[in-house]
Amino acid sequence: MKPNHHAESNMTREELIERVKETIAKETNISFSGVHLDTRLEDVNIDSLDMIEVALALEKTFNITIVTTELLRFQTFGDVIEELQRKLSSE
Amino acid sequence: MDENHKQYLHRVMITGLGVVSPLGCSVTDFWTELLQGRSGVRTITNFDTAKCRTRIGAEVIDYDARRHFSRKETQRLSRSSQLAILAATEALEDSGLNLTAAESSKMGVIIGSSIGGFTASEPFFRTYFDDGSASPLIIPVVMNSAPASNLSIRFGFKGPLMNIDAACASSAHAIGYSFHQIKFGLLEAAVTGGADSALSQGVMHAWSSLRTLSERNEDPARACRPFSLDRDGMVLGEGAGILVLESERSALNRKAKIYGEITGYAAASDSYHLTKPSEPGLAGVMRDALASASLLPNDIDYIAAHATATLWNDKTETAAIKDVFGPSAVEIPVVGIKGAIGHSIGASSALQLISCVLSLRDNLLPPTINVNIPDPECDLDYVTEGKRPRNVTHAMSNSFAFGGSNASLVVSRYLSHLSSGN
Repeated sequence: MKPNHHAESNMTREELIERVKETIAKETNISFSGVHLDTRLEDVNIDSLDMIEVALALEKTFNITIVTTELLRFQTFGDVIEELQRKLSSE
Repeated sequence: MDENHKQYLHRVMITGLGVVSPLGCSVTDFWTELLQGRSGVRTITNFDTAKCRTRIGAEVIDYDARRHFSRKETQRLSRSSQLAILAATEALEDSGLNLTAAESSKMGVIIGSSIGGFTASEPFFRTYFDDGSASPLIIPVVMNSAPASNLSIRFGFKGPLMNIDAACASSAHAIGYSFHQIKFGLLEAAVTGGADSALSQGVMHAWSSLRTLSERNEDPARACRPFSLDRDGMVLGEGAGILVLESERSALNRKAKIYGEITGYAAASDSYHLTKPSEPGLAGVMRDALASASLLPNDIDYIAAHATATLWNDKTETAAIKDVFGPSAVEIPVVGIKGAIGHSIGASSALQLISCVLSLRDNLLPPTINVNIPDPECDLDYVTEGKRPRNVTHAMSNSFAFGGSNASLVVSRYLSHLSSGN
């Protein structure tokens, strides 16, 4: 059953970026300090297998669903943020 | 094969060896301990064996994954893949191969692995049945072809890549297949052998339920007794044995150290039973291997036996050897090393063949340990007194798998004057 309200939908963009960074860093054990929106995930050693685990963690953290076709489009950190923001604001 | 075709065949050299075993994590440690008659069988400490009739195994103990791999690598490499990488690193360094990109494109990776996927899957599926979550790493980590794939990725080899799974004969077939690829000119060189781990809670319980395992838990080092009348089964193990094979031309061009050559390989099936061996099947594959090497039975100086220490294997193998070698069978030393290193399933044939290669090099045979009481049905010369000096020019190595897949390999001292000029 879908929840009626998402606390996450009230987050600012900056808060969202920080929470995604935290989630990815926790999942991959990779330091995210120097990462920008245009950083390619591959360049910080996050490969397609890591991204599957990251997506699972993001789904839990933000109570959303990331379907496979969306997952496959994530090339940069910014791609992840844009998609999450779109999902959270459409709730 | 007629004489016109023989001129196109290549001789296949062994130029590198690597070992990870319960007797040590290098060729030198493995061979020194094996010659001393030491046992790598111990009480299992890595997992709970309380519900299992057998509580002993041949674990690789002096190995710490964190010393060799990053955290991320250990998550993505099964135990079999880790052991494969370690043994291959030693074998490649030993061979002195320093491949250009062009040469790497012709380097094959053909590995035998059979049970390591089962053992690697246990923690994943435990989690799955507990809380319903399935890690995306399950498939890439547990697939039995992962050890071969990880070698190809790590070392940059772009030739044929495959895993051969024929249970306990897997790595004999992997080595045999590589031998044929080079012999017939399809490959210049190959990294081959086996890597496997049979040690996990569920897998050990499964083998135990089949009543194939020794239950001498109180005396691990003396539990596995190949050819002994009081043998009560095999001991599961783990390890990796990797060989670098290359054509004579390639080895001579780069002035490589040559341990010996593979001269014969045969593969055949019992077509009989899933777990019970068949004497005609075992004898047949040994005869075919002799024919493949163009040798007669009395050319063989030494037989490394499959010798699992199960009731059926050891007496059937003995009968088959007597069938093939006739009255002179009693004059050929026959050694089973599984008493010392346990049965590492997919890796066992490769470790056994490497011991043959070292016997060729040193003219020394390791002993069969733990032969306590002579068995009237196992009446050959099993080298029970300890290591033995023996001039070895040609050695045969047998592998007989559950399901009836049999393989026999012949390795020979390299005598350059026999070369036809390839």
